[in-house]
Amino acid sequence: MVARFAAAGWALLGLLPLSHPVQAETLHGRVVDATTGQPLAGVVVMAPQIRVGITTGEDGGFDLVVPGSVRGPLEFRLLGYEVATLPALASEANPPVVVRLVPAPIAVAEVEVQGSRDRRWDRAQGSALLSESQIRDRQGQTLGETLTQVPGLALLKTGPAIAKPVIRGLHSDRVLVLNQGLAQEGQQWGAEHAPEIDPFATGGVEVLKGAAGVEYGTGAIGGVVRVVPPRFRRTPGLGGRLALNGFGNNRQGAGALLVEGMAERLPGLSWRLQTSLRRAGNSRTTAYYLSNTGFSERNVSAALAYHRGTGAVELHLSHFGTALGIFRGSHIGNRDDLLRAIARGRPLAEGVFSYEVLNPRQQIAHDLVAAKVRHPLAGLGRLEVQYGWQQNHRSEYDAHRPYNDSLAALARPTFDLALTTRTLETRLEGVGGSAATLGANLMRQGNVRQGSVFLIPNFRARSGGVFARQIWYLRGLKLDTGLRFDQRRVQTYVRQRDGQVLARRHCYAGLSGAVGLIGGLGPAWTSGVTLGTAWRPPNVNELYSRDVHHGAGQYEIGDLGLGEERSLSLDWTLKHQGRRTQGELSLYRNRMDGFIFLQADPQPTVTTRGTFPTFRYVQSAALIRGIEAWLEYRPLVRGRLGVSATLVRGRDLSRGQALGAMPADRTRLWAGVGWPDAGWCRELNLELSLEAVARQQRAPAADYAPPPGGYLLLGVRLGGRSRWRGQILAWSVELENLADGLYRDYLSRYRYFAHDPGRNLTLRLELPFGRESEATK
Amino acid sequence: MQKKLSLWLLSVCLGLLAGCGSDNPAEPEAVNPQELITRITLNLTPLDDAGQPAAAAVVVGALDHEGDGKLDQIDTLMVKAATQYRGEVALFDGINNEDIGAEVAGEAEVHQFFFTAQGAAASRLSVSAADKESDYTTNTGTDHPVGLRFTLGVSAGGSGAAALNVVLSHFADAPKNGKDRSDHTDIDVSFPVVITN
Repeated sequence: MVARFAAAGWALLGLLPLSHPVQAETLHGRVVDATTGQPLAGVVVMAPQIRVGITTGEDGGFDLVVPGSVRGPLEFRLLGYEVATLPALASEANPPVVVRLVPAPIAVAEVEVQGSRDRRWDRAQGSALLSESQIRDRQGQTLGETLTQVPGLALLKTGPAIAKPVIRGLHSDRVLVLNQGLAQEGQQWGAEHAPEIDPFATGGVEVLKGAAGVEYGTGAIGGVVRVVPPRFRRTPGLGGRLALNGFGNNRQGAGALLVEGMAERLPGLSWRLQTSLRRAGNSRTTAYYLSNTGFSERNVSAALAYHRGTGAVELHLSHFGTALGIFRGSHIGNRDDLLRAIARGRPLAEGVFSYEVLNPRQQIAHDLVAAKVRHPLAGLGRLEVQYGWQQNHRSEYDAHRPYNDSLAALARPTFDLALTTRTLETRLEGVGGSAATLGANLMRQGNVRQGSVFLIPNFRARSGGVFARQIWYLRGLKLDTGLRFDQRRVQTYVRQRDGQVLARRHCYAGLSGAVGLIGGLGPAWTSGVTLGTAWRPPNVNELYSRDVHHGAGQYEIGDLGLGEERSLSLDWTLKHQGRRTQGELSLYRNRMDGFIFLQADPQPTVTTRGTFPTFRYVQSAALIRGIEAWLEYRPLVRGRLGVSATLVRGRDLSRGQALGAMPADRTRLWAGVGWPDAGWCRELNLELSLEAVARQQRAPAADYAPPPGGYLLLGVRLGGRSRWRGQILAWSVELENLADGLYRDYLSRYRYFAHDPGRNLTLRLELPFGRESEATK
Repeated sequence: MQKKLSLWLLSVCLGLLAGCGSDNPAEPEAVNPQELITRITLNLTPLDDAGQPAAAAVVVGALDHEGDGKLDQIDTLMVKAATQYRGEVALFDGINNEDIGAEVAGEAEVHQFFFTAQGAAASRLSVSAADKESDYTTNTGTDHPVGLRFTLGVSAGGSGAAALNVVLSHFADAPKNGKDRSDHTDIDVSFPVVITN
């Protein structure tokens, strides 16, 4: 068993063959499940004598390059299946081979635990899965930044410390972020409130593009970012890793230490302790520093698990803490101040470098407890019960210091929110031996606010949902159907300015449903169509806001009469995994009824601080359509060329105008070359990339400034794995915005006042110790 | 073994939860008062040729009753043609019962009032600050005007209508230069002005 784990781990380290081929021959074929005929992804294909290996793609296909002299057997390994061997090598002229793997009766249980099945083939809709090593190679300053290269995903940024994922033009309350299997419950409604997740504590990320309401409920109307926790250690012993990151632009240092182990006496009992620290100073554009954009982060987590057979008990505790500065130039008084700042186009003060975080700033703590039990119930299916507790505490400090010195000395936040959420989720998979899943969940939430900003009141929310999902296999086609019912009740306690508290009740309920069909088109292609409907209730801020939003320089007014927002979406996705090419193409159309957004009110609000443009939350019919695609071609064993493109079109159908905050059209080109063994370094990889972003041509006329112009960003990255004192040291050096260009992105909330950061040099080092896969070396 | 362990884990988890604070939103929130400017008063004393008070002062106010920032009331300033006025600005926080004008005087180096005549008869009004930072605090660097005290001159002519815009700029980032406004406006109100003969 150990050897199998090791083989999988070793082969997953890279898709490139590890030895230098002389007179190479290519063997291509496909691996399928012998009983169902389903393609098997992630199967390790190896020529053991020469240690050449590769893993199969999504369609079960593989291309293995081996020296012509080798005539030994090939091995095919996948957890949960018997090892298969192919006696002789076929040559390139021969037709592709089909290898059938027979499920191993005893080891089948292990498949579930390891999750080595490729989930992407499960989904008809557009999706992306970033593995742990891909995440580490691309690790950015925030979780959002780590995901930037996923086509269809953009970032809504408020400086370098705050980046929210935008999936197909939707974000915030419309994108669900899952951490430890729990929906992250922070103050997600705010565009300047980023997901409170440590980018170091991820074992992978799955992005679902488009609604996933059946599986994940009302928050997933636009998409899901599922942060996969790192896997527990699977062999007795002690191990861990130290990761260090440095970012040149804001002189940021970050480090994480993870220690994990499994008890020698009680195999199956594993634990993990992890901590990370991060400190960044002011970011720099080509021409000036962005004052007060530094931040610091301290995170710690602990996890304990006991796995036995297909059953498991897991407990996870984590704390995320950050203190981040809000760019001073973005904090303005009233509309005239805003117009002056825009006319200037850059901050009044040039700024200097500093690590100090001053007002305005945000201080956020997110604590999470997740307890999960998985237990097989004979004849009934696999039961999973998860309990979650989360508390999000956000304090925002205004730039404006009180005139009164004694009040100023208290340094109280202007705005303070504490949100506590408890959830209980149950799920029964493989009901009665079928491919059906049943689930139910309950949630209770309380929000307590303090301060003088009237954007979100105290509230208590209770919600519950039930769902059923069934998968059918019909002649190589897979039909995935699901239905869900959710209800949410919200009791608000609105404190009036005179001190009186008004209680009000809101109740929302609705159905979500989806039908997906996936089929294979030849060995290298799969095609999927998904038709789905999902909904979400209006958020409390959309109902109750009644104050100046200083970052935006506008007065926002909620509407108590808002109803549910519903989407009806159609997605067509084509996935390709060929001998030399791979890629994915998605076309989608998402019709939203009762789409909630801020609409400019012709009547401005006159205050003692001046006149503010006024925005009201309104509902309208909207249509969002788009295309996203990527293609990678490997003309040579070592080289690769790739291209990706994302187009999104959003329209407010009632008013006949473009929807705001839609990402501009963008494309990315990359060219890479790899050396499996460069002597001093294994898997040495060099990649050049070019990102081109067009000007957003379709923006609503009611904006303070027109969308900024297009821009080009050049990047280069070199990485590999070297031996250091008997350990494998993974390293990479990356340069972003190589030309140090001055630019603004349409989705940057600072674009009115300042440019985006300039050139950035990133260094990443990772030193594992006590590795489990050492056995194979 | 598995059952025992899961029970143990569950009890650890419950114990942790019991230790977590209250989250009852129905409980009255802690009041966290913030400073507000709810009353802006202009006090204008007409002067005779010798610069002495010639009559009782004209007092106008801009009021925000609830402290929500919205301007609930603004008085019209009645001034006489061909008259010089000596003006004073008073600021008050009616919610916390505090004299904000005194606080501004204490931080004179990072504040400045800007007065602008607007409307049809704007050209007949001339407004300028009549004080310096050194009048309130020990001054370092250039001694810029503050504007808590100002003069208003109304030129001769018939009756007319105008407006007097009063802005208080807070200089938190950029240094004060005596001429330009900052991007942090604490007050921005326009009083209607009626000129009579």
